[in-house]
Amino acid sequence: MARVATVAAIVFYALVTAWCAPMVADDEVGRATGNGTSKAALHERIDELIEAAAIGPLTPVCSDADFVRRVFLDLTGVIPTGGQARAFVVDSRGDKRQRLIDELLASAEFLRHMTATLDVMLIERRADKVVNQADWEAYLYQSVADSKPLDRLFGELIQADGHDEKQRGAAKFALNRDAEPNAITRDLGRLAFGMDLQCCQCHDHPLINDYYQDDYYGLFAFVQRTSLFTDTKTKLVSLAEKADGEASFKSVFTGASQDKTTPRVPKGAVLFVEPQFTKGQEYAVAPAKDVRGVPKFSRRGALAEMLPGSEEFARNMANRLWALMFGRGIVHPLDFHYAGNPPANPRLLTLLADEFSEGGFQVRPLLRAAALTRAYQRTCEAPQPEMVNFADVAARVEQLERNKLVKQKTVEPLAEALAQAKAAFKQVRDEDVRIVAELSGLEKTVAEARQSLEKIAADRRNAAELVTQIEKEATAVSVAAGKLSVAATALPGEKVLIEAAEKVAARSAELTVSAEAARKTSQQPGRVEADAAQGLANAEAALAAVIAKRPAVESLRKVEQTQLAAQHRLAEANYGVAQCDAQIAAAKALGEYAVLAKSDPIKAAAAWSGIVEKWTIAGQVAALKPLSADQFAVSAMQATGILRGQVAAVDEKLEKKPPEAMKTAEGAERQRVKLNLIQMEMLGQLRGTNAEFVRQYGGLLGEEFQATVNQALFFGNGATIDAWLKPAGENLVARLWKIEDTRALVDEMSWAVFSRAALENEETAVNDYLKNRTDDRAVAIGEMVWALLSSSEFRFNH
Amino acid sequence: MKCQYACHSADHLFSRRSLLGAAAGGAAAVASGLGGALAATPGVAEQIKRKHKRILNVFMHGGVSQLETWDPKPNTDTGGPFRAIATSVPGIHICELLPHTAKQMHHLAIVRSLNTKNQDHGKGQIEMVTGRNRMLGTDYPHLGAVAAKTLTPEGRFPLPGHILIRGGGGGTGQAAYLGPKYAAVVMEDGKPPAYTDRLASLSAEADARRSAFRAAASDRFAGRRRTADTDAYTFSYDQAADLLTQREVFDVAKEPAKDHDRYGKHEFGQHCLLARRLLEKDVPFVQINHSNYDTHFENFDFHIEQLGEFDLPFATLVADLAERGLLEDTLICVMSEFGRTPKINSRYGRDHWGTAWSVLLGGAGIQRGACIGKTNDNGTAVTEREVDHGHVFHTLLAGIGVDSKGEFDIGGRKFPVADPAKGPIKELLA
Repeated sequence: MARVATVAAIVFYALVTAWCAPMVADDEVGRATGNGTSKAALHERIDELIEAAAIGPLTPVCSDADFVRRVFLDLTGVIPTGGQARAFVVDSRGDKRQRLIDELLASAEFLRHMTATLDVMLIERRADKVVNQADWEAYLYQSVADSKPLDRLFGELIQADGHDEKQRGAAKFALNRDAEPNAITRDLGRLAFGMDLQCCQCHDHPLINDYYQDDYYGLFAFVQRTSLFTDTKTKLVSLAEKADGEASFKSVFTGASQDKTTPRVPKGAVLFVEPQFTKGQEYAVAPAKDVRGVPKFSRRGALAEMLPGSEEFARNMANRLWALMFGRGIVHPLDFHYAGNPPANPRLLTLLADEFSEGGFQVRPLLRAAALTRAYQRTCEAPQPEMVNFADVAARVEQLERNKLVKQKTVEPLAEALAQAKAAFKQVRDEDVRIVAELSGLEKTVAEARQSLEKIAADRRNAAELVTQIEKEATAVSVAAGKLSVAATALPGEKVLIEAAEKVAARSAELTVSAEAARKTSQQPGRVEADAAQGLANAEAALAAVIAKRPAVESLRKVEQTQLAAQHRLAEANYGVAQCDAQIAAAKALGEYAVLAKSDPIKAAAAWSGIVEKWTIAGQVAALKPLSADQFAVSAMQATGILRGQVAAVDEKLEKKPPEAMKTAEGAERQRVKLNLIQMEMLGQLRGTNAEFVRQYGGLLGEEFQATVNQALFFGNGATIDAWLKPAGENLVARLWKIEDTRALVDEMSWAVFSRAALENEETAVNDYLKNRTDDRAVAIGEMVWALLSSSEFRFNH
Repeated sequence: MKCQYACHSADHLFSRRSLLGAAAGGAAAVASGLGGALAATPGVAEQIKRKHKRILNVFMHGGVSQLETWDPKPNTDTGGPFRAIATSVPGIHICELLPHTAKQMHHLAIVRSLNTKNQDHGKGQIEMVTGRNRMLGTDYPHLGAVAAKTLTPEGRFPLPGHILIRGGGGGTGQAAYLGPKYAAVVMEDGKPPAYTDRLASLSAEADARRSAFRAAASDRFAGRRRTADTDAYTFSYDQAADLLTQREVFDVAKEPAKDHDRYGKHEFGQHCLLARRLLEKDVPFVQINHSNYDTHFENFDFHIEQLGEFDLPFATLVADLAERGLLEDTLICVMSEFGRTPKINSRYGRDHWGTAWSVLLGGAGIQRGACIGKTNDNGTAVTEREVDHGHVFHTLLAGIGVDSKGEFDIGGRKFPVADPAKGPIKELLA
C-alpha cells in the first residue's frame, strides 16, 4: 500500500493549512497517517484531516435528537421509536453517543440493514431469478453476522459456482447476471474496483482519459471462461468454467487490437503465472455434454485471491462505506475513480483505505470510526455569513495559490519516477513475455519430439505383436499339416485329401519363414528410435535452459509493486493539487459572496447556497440525506407503530414454535438468537412494502434524488399509508387518540415521528387542528400524522 | 375468429430490473433554485406560454406486416392479395387496407429501409423504444422517458411527462438511469393513472387541511436547512394537488359524443381520442398500443381485421391534430418490434422479419410526404439507405429539437442521449 508521509508532503500541507482553523500541527497529521505509530484513534485522525483542509467555519455538534435519528437511520435503516429517542435524549452519561453507536453496530437491526444494503449494492434490484432472494439474503445476513471481511465476501461472490448447496447464495451475483462475462466484468469493475469500464468494452473511454480497453479486457480475462450450466436431470443452474480461452479485442474507433490479454486487476497486478497442465490434464472434471466442466486452475479463483492486494479495491470499498454514512463518497460518483475525478479529501480516502485493508477489511470498525467523528456529528443547519471572517479572504486565496505552486512542484519528479518504474517494469515484463513466447515454441518442440519417439516405440510394439500372431498361426497350420499328412498317408486313394495336405504343408513352411523374418525385424534395435530419444532429450534440455532464464515471479512482483506504488504516489500528488484548487475555489466563492451581499441580495443568497454545498462536501456541515425508499417505508412503519406490531407477531410465532437454534440456547444467548431470527424474518416481511416504495421513490444506492408528483399522489391517495393511519391495536393513531391532554399528545406524536420533543408553536398548531374535531378526533389525528410523515423533516435524514 | 398466434407474443415478458415499475414517474418542474430564485418560479412560467413539443408513439404489437401497410409489393411472389392505393402524396402508394391513412399521407412520411437484424419479440420491443442494441444486464431509458426528461414544460406543470395508454400488448416505459420521475405513468385500459383518485374517506376539504398542516411543518424545517431537494419535495405535493384539480384530463368520457362516434367506441379508437386529449394538454409523450399483429397464421385475414380497426381512428387523430394546429409540435411515429417475412408460409401466414421493413413518421420536425429508403422488388432486402432502430430513435429526438448527440448528466455520471454510434436520418428532418 502506498503511504504518503514524506517530509516534503508534510511541509506542503503545513503551508496549505497554515491559516485554517482549528489548527492541527501538520507534522502530527503527517504522523497520524503513518505506519501505525500514531496513538490517536481513527476517528480523531479523520477529523484532523477534514478540519485541516477546511475553508471557512465548521458547524457545531448536532443535538442529541438529531443524532439519535441520524445514527439509527444510517446503522439500522429505520428511525428510532419514540421511546428509544426519548431515552437517549434524557440519558445524561457523557459517552452515550459512543455507547449508542456500539449498541447499534452489535444489533440485529444492523444485520438486517446491512443485508438489505449489500443486496441493493450487489444485485441492484434486478428481478429475482435462479437463486431466490431468501437464500441470497440468508447468505448475506450470516456473512454480516460473522463479521466476514469484505475481501472474502467479494472473493466468495466471484468464486462461488452455485453447484455446492452451501455456496448457492453467494453464486447469485453471477447467476443473476446470467453469468454473462461482459455484465460481470462491468459490475465487478464498478462494485469491486470503483471503475465503470463499460465503455471500454468497445473502445478506450471517450471521456475518461485513464480508462483503457485493456483495463476492461484484463478484468474480462478472469471471467470469460465462465458460463451458465444447466443440469439436465436436476435442472439446477450453476456455473461451469473452461480451462482455456484468451481475451482479445479490437477498438471500434481506432482499430487498435490486442491478442491474448493477460488477466489483470484494474490498474493493479497482473496474473503472471498460471499453472500449466499437459493436454487432457487441465480439468478436475472435464466438460462434456451434460457434464459441468471444472478446471484444476480457476481464473475466477485467481481473481478472488488477488482482491486483498488491490489498492483500488480497498479505496473503492472504503469510499462506499463512507458514502453510507455521509450520503456521498469522498470520490463521487462512486463508480468513477480516475484522475479527473479527484477525492474531495485525498489523504482522508488514503487513510480510510489503508486502515480498512490493514484492519482486515472489516466493515464495523470503519462505520464506527465514521460515526464517531465530529464531521458526522455536526448539525445540518447551514452556517450563517456572520460565522465567517471575510476580511482576510484575499490574503487566503493568495496563500493557497502559493501552496498550490509548491505542491505542483512535487508532481514532476513523481511523474518521472513513475515513468522510470514503468520502463523498468516493462523491461522485465517484456522479457518475461518474450520468454513465455519462446517457451511455448519450445514446449511445442518437446511435445513433437515426444510424439515421434512414441510413434517409433509404438511401431516396434506393433511388430512384436505381429510376430506373436504369425507364430501362433504357424503353429496352428503346422499342427494341421501334421494331422493331414497322417490322414493322407492312411487314405492314399483320396486325391483331394492328398492335395490338401500338400497345400497346407507348403503354407506351413511359408509361415515359418515369415515368422522368422518378423522376429528378426522386431528384435533389431532401431537406430531411428535412438535418434528420436536423443531429439527429445535435446528439446527438453533446451526448454529447461530457457525456463531457468525466466525471472522468478517474486522479482516480477517486486518490480510491479514499485510501479504501482509510484502510480499511487503520483495520483496522490495530483489529487493534492486538485484539492488546492477546490480550496481556492471555496475561498474565492466567499470573496464573491461578500461583494454580492452588498449589491444583490438575491444573487448573494444563491451564492451562499453554493458555498454551503461546498462545505457539505468537505464535511464542514452535515449533509441533508434523502431517506432511501426502504428507509422511508420502514421509518413510516416505525413512526405509525406498524413495525412494532409486525415484530411482535414474529416474536410470538418464534416463541410458539421455537426453531432448533433457539431451543439449544439459553438466557441472553437465546435472546440474541431470537432477535437475529426476528430481523431475518423481517427482511422477507418488509419486501412487499419496500417494493411498493421502490417503484415510486427509486431504489439504487447513490441515485439522484427525485421528488415526483406520483410519489406525492401515492403518499396522499394510496391505500398503504392510509391503512397505517387508521387507529388499530397499539398503533400510533390509536395511542394518540387515547391521550386527552394536548401537550402530551403533541409530545408523543413528535417523538414518534420526528424523534424529538415538540416545539411550542407545534402545540398551538395541533390545538387549532383539533378544535371542533371532537366527533372525528381519530380522523383528525390521522391527518396530522400524515402531514408530519409527508413533511420534509421526515423525508430527509438530517 | 381468433387469431392463433404461434409464439404467444402477447405474453412475452422481457427481463428488466424491477426498480422502476410501471406506475412510477410523472412530470414535475425542474427543481427550483434557492432563495429569491424560488419565489419567481410558479406563475411566471405559466404566463410565458411556450410552444411545447410532444411525441405520439403508436406501437403495433406482434410485428405488423410492412407489405400490408407501408411498403406494398402487389403482383409479386411475396405481395399477397392486396392492391396498393394512391395516397394524398403523389407517387407514394400504400396498402389498400389503409384508405383513411392514405388521405393523411401529406402529414406523414415513410421509412422503408429498416434492417434491425432481429426476429425476437422481446428484443424488438426494447430495441425499437430505446434505440439501442439490447445488452444483457443493462437498461436503457424508453423513448418516453427521454422525451419527458427533455420536453417537460418548465414551471408548474403537474401532469405526467410520459404516459403509456396500455391496451393489448405490454410495455412498461422504463426510465432506467433517468430515475422514477420519467418512468411511464400507465393508464391501464385507458383508465386514469393510479392514485389520482382521492380516497373515499378523504374529502377535498380535509385534504386541503392536512396539506396546510404539512406545509407548515415543512416550512418550520426549512428554517433549519433548505436545499434544492427540500424545495423539490415540498413542491411535488403542490403539484399533486394541482393534478387532482385537473384529473378530468384523464377522462376520455369528457370528449364530445360526436368525437366518440368519429373515433369509434372500441379500445383503439378510445385510446386515440384519449391521446388527443392528453396531447392537447401538452403532455410531452403519449404511447398507445395496438395489438396483435403476430400473424403466423392467416396473415391476410388478420391484417384486414386489425388494420380495419387501426385505420380510421389513427387517420382521424392525425387529421384532428393537424386541424387543431397541434401537429406542428407533435411528432408521430408508428412502430412495431419488426416486420413480417415476404415469404408466405404454408398456413397463409408471415413470420418474424427484421431484415427489410418500415416505420411511419410524421408531424413536428419531419419532412411531410417524404419516403426514405427502398427495398427490392419483392421486399426481401433493403436496397437503399439502410437504417435501424438507432437511427429512428435519433430522428425522433432530432425532430422535436433535442440534440440527440448530446448527453445527460445524472448526478455527475454522463450518459449519451442516444446510441453514440448512430445519428438522425437527416434528409427526413424538415
